Amino acid sequence: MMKLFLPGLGVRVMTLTPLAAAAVCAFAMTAATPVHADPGDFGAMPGLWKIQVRHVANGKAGAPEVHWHCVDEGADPWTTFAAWTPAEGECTATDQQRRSTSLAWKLTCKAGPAASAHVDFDSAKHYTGSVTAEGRGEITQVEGDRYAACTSPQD
Amino acid sequence: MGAGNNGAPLPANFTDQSTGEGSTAMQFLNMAQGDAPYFKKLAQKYALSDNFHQSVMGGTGANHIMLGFGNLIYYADANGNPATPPENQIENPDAQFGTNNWWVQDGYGGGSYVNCADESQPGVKEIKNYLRSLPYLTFKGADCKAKAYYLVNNYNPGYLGDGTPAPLGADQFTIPPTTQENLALLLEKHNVSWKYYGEGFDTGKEDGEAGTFCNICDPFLYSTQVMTNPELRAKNQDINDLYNDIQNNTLPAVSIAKPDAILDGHPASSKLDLFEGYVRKIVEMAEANPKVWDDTVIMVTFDEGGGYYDSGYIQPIDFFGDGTRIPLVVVSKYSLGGKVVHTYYDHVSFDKFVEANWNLKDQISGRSRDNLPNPVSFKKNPYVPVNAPAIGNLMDMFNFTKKDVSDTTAIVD
Repeated sequence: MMKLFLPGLGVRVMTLTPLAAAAVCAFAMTAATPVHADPGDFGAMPGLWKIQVRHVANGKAGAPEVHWHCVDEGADPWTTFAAWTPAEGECTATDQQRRSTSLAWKLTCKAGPAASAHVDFDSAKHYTGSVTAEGRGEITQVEGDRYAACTSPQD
Repeated sequence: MGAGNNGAPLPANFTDQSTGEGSTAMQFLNMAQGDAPYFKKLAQKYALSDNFHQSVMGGTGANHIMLGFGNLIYYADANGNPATPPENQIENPDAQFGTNNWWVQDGYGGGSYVNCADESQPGVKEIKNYLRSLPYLTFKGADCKAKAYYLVNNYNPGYLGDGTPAPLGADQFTIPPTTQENLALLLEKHNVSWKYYGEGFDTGKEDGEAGTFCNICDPFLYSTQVMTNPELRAKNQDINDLYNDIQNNTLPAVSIAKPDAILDGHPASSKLDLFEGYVRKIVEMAEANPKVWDDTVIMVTFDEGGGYYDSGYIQPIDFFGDGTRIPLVVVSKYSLGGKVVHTYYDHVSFDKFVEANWNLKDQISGRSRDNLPNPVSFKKNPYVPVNAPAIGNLMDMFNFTKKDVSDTTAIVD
């Protein structure tokens, strides 16, 4: 009997819809000086990410809120991983610092205190981060794990 | 509207150039001037089909589902019964008020399901009326399972590679696990060995090759029966396992192999010559092992045509397609040898080939397209079956008995 393989099945349809994965956190953030990161040298793997967000009060982290989202290959790390702000409402990011495995930025918000935030990857599939507000200390802890592949708007 | 609006309104100052897509209607490959040299070489030596089709007028995921299930799959509850998806995930091709056909809901992060049994659903009646107007009865009378919302584009499968059920919800764009019958289950039923080899699968972590594994390309990641059974789940493997199996004479009877996003030839992320390199490695590896080469057929194709215009005949089969033509080359010592075959095929022809080659006398399900007959056509127009709807089983791409086919192959150049 013949054996069969289908090594092809290669070309996928191009779908160039806007990135749907960016806004894990329902807060708006605008950059005073837009920094459009080159995604090529950022060390995060595309795919399905599980994000756990813990709000910190009086030094104690609460139960995690779990969010799942797809990270597209070539996504802007700022819009994908740096959506954390200290308050609801419009915030402005400044002093954005980016390395291949980390993001750091400062925030001023109309409805909250000034803050600083960071995200640090210890592998292409895992990161931790936090937001620290002036006068309040750490207010948010974030941890992300990449779990699987994801279809993207380019498929 | 490009790849879909995901329910958003028409953008201000919208033009046909601002979609980011759709402005390129055709791609030109000049093989006489050196384009696609390896595929040209394969076609000249083995056999090429010029009437092979994507099964669905939809994306990669839907066409791989058709390959694996012979049918599309629908949104299901935990028991596998048809259920209603979140509203934002239901296709609505009605035009938004005041627009020139800017749809109400469509897109990767939006509407991708259709309840084609319900003619009150947007757009359904128009397609059904067209199918009823044809001079032949379409497959199953173009009916659809009652209350079933079928997936017609790309959504993530219901299982992660390690067997974990994928997260679901209105913002996940993941189809729930399905219990619908599929090719893997048919092969298991008849004790025919099989594997799916996906580049980057990495034992289910889907993180090889920098995370470019194509999850929507593995039809068995959608299947509850496969993914909750450790023995069957383990038959989803990495492309490196294919290389090992070729070299160690451990290939299963039926293999499906898929490159990652870097090598798949996709215009957005790859190049055609990278896909050629991927195919070449497999073909040369198979040729180098006489035990493999002696009884192996390699079929090389694309999942869909990327939306490019195509002048070829498309056979209306059922509510979902067929789709436009795509290339198919069959590589085997038993292929016709430099011939072009005009018989009508689509992806489900692979399923029919498997069923014919292993003499299964069985089909995937009562609703799968492998129930369709082989085409009958006239020499003056070999592309159009006169017994439509019909798709071939690919057997006429081969000459297994080495007989003289010069008089019998009216559909072969």
